Amino acid sequence: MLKQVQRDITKANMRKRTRKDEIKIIFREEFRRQTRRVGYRIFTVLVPAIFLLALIMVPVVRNLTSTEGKAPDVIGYRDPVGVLASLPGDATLVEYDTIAIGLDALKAGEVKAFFVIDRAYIETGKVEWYRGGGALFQSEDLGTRFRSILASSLVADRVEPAVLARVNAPAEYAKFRLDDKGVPQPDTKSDAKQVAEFFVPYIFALLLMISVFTSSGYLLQSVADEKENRMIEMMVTSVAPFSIMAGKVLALGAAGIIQVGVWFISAVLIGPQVLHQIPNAGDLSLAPGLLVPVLAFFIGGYFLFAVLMAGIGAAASSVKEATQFSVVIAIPNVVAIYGSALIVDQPNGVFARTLSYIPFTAPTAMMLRLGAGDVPVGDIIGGLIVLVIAGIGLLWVSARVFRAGLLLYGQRMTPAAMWRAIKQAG
Amino acid sequence: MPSALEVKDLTKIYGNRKVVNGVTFGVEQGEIFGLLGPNGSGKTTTIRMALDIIRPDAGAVSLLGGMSPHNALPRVGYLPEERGLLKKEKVLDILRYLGELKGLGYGEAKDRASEMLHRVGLYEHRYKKVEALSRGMTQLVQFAGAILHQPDIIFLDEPFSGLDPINVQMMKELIREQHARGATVVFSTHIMSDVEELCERVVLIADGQLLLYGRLDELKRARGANGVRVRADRHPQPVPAGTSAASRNGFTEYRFPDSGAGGTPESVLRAYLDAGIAIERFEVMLPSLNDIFIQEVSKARDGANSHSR
Repeated sequence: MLKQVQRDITKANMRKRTRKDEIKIIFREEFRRQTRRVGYRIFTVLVPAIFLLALIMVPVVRNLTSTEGKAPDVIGYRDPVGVLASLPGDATLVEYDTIAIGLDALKAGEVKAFFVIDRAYIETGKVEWYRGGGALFQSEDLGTRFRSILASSLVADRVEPAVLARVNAPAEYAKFRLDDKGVPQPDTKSDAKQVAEFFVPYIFALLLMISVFTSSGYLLQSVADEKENRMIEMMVTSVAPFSIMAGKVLALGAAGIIQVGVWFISAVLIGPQVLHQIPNAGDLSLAPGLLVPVLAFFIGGYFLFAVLMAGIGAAASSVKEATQFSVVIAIPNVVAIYGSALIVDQPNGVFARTLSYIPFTAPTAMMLRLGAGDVPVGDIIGGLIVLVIAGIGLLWVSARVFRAGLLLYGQRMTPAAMWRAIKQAG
Repeated sequence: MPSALEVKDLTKIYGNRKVVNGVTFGVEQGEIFGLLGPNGSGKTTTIRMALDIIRPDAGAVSLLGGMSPHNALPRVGYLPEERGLLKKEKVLDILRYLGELKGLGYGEAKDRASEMLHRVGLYEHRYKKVEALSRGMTQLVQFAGAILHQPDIIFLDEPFSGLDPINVQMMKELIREQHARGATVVFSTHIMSDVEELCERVVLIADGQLLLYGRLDELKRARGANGVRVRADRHPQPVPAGTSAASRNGFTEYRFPDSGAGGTPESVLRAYLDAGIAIERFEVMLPSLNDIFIQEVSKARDGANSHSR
């Protein structure tokens, strides 16, 4: 009796369901499926794991490769010509009477490298450089060092000591860089800092775009899968097609945001610690204040590609075909990634700004620009407006294609059918 | 009492072809209604239009007394002809999800899913992935998904196709249970014996056209007897005019030709009486639904062919 009453109540409540309720049900289910995927979980923790690994490995690698506090390596040489005869005594340079003795010393590890100056050295410049068998990663510094010694020796008796000192240290660079207005500005950043400043936003933008495409790709697969498995027909007799599309877009977007959030938090917390381990990388860090605009472009970019992928998933005849179509969608972003060097180098240049206002390249371009430098607020707002308008327009088109394409089992939606679906009311 | 389904002048055109052409019928609440037709006749398209999956090009559909599709859908159960479930999902999860889509709460959907799995004998498979089930089991799960929310009207498109006799029997029992509960059941098929077993009223569609509509017994009686079965210790010779005779299961069956120019039950009875033969049993044979189906569809196709010439 009680069960019957409960069922009657349930029936009454069932009739009052709204579109929002439908979307919530689909959202919950898709979110559950997505976050349970092994691939999703691995990818989410991969980035923090890489950061942690870098935190451990950077000091280890530095210890292995650093020459600080270490005595210079001992170099052996054979000089039949007497080029180095006037060299002052140096414990790190050992002359050998014969090549055989020198090679024996190299084999025994007494010297790190063994150089043999050719008899016709003055005419040819030829010097033989012998390295030990395990010297796969031996630094080119030894060759540079011996070249420097040769250069000094060649001019030692012919120039004044000051000139000789200049030969040994020919240039102390003062670096300048032209700004956006073409005015030279002092460039005091170390190479390490410049590399970090390029790669950090590049890699972050790359990761974000990977997340956008992974999430929207899963959406495409989910739609195409339900269509291929014929389950979609039971679903469209339960909830409106728009609710299916909206629920999926929101769920996979939420999962993507969580993923990106985990990456961002790990980057903000661990990233600076890693960079501090690298000499002269400076204080480069990801400012927490970047989170809002980066998230905004991530959400906008994801929404744009997600609604497009939903439409493709419904219009395609199979999961395989849908995946092939989706590759085409990625092309604009490949353009942005290829142009990333230019964008990072000139974040407010014409190329970067142009890409920021094209909907399909705006997310990547803006994320690169935000990581690389100060972006005018007007550009941020303008880029977002373009994204939102394009997203809404695509949503309108995709929803109609989605509804019409869902039941075309085993058939691809022809362009004519797509056009009819778009024209047909609601 | 408003009808469960009203379909009026329903038409659907694909390209140059009218796959459903001006079909009109109604389904009363609480009945089991048969939607019959050969393959490609327009049955599935008609069901899809009734459920607002596709829009008709002409005509109107009224479901559950004129409810809007949005309000009606939670009260509708549907087993599509194109069957399938997500293969990588667990059986219980899929059923629970289907129940939630129909408006049940999470907990209730899960309870009902478990109940239905018990009912169809698949409870022990509830944590298996759908891909681990046989085709017949998957169909039963999908059928369970169509009815677990206790809908007011259930559409079953070719529900028995691909099932073995045991599962067919189980599904028929489930249909009868739903009927006993008060639900309206509309099922499409081209297997006439299933219709004769379950349905009270039917509609026959072929090539998109409605050929027959009404109560099964009335449709049969309207065609008149197509034979009689007689049990007697002997039989008149010669065989009564306009009939062909055959012995079957202790009876002699006299069949009347389709042309209607042959014998009648009265003429066979007169033959026995004139011969002074005592009759133990005399049964009038009405045409089977299968016979009616073949007759009507052939007639319609012959008519269509002569028009096109």
